Amino acid sequence: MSEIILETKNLTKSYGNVKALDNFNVKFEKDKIYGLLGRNGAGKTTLLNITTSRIFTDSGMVTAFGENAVENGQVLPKICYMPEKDMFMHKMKVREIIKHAGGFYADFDMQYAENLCEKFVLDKNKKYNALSRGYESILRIVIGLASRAPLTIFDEPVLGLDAAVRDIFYTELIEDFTNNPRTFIISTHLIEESADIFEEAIIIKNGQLIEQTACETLKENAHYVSGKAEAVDAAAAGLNVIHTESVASVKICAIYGKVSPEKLRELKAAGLDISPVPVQKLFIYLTEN
Amino acid sequence: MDRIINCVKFQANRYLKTTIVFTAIFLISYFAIVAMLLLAEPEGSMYMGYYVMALIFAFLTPGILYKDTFNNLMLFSNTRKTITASMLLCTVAFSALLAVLSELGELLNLGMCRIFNSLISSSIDNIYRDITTPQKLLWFFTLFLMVVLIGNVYGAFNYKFGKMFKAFFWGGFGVLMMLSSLLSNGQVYIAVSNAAKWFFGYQMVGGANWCSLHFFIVAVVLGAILWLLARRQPQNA
Amino acid sequence: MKLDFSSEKSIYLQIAENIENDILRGAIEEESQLPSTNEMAVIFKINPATAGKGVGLLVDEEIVYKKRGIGMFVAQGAKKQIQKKRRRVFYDNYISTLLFEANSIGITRDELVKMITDGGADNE
Repeated sequence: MSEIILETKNLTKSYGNVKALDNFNVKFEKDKIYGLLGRNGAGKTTLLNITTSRIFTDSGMVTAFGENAVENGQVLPKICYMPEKDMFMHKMKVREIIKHAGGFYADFDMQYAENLCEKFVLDKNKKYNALSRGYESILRIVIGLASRAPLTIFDEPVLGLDAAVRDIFYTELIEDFTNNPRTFIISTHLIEESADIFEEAIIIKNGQLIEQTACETLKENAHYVSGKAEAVDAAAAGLNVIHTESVASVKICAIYGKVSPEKLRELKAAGLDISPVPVQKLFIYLTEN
Repeated sequence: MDRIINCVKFQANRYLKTTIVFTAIFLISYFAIVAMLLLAEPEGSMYMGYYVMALIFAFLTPGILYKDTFNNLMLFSNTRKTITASMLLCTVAFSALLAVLSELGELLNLGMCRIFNSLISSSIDNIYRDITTPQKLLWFFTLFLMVVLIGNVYGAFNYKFGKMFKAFFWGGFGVLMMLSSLLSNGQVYIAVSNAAKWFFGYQMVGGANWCSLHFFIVAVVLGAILWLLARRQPQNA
Repeated sequence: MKLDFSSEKSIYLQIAENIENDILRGAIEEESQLPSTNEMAVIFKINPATAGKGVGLLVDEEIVYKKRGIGMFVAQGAKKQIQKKRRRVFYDNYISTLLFEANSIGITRDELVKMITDGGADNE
């Protein structure tokens, strides 16, 4: 197993009666791109805020780079966390913000930051409060990428960006990752287009970790089984059914879990239709209540 | 230590800019009044001290900057210890700058009052008979340390409690003002008066230095409060 | 080489297949170098580990091998190796579906054989 960069043990955080995180345990390894997926309010942002000491947990531990991460001046500078919320000084120019950022991350690459500003057409002379929502996201992307921090975290990095710009981001992310490997954690709603970028997906539901697996495994282990209701029920017995639908006399089941090729052939031979489940739908089924 | 210095650099620009703007506005108003005096000598006399106006400015600036500074520096992966340490260093530098500017303001008054009878050269020389220039600088410096830290602590409380704090603070301030105007006579007034005189070293030998010491102690206490407020403060967007 | 992100087939399998197809067609010669997994990742906008997994499959089947410090190369005899492999699964992948479909629409075996020998010239 590769070196563990970030680990949480039994993190629990409540807001009033609501448990935002419930005994949360997760491990992130060195030099991998992770997708952090979950519905609104599932606990993604709470998790990210706690692991980077922006807020404090009620109980549990966070370890990063082998040390207790809480308020740790040795460890925090190795983590660049660009959150969803707007936090820069409004009256500062983009140029100044980037310059200051450069002073706080040991591996910050100013030349790369300049290149990214050009690629994204980010006007460095604009004041932060004059930027549109999209460009605010772009600034966070530029700083996060150029920081070259060994652990770089993005919370909803592509909010407000059109498809073309999102594409630039994914391209830059992969390219920089291949040339300068580091651990990326990216929290996003846009699963369909980003699933292939991630090596592993981590799915959060109601403050709990429900799945941590390679993205291909997610896809390989999900199937739609459809056909006559009785046949489908018989076939699905003993399998992990995560969703069912009926249209007239046709029943469709989504099953999740490792199914052998023989079993699949068996099901097809029984006259059932087996088809893949789109990642977006799979995510919805897994996180449904 | 590097990181603390970078945090100071981050704030320095804002502090410098606002100080320049404030000083410019002060000078414009100062010379506007001087121009009016050239036209007509009014009855009575007045004192225009830089430091009096600067007190308000010294309180407001850190109060207004606290939230953005805290959020932005935390965004750049700094610990609360580092952020607070940098705020304290900025306070020291800012206070020193304002102290020097205040002394220059006093010198300006000295020059102007030779020309205009309606201007008083200094209020401080009247309070502290035997004050020397170094003592004056120290007095200004510790005064601003205290006031800037009040501003910082205000900013920190505001960050923690938001609107509720603002309501309490200014509401309480208003109540205090009312109370003090009601108590213009009586035992309480005398007691408060004497305490204030003691605190400010009024008409004591070496009074300015005692006052500076008292300012400094209050500043240290406020600094500790600032530290404690930030220690476990979760980030508010 | 193109990837179908909406396909049932995993990306890494598609990569392996695409490389095999290029070798079969002669687009990639034996003993020539493959693009690196990093290059593939950037071109297709996929995680390099996925590209690596696809290439890894080919290494396991000895179609491709690694030259230390240089990169991945197509093995000698890779073309033959692929053809052999594909023959084995030809029936499952193509013939059985063909037979099933022909059966469902009522095409007899003889008609089927005629179609194949005539190359589909008169199947109106």
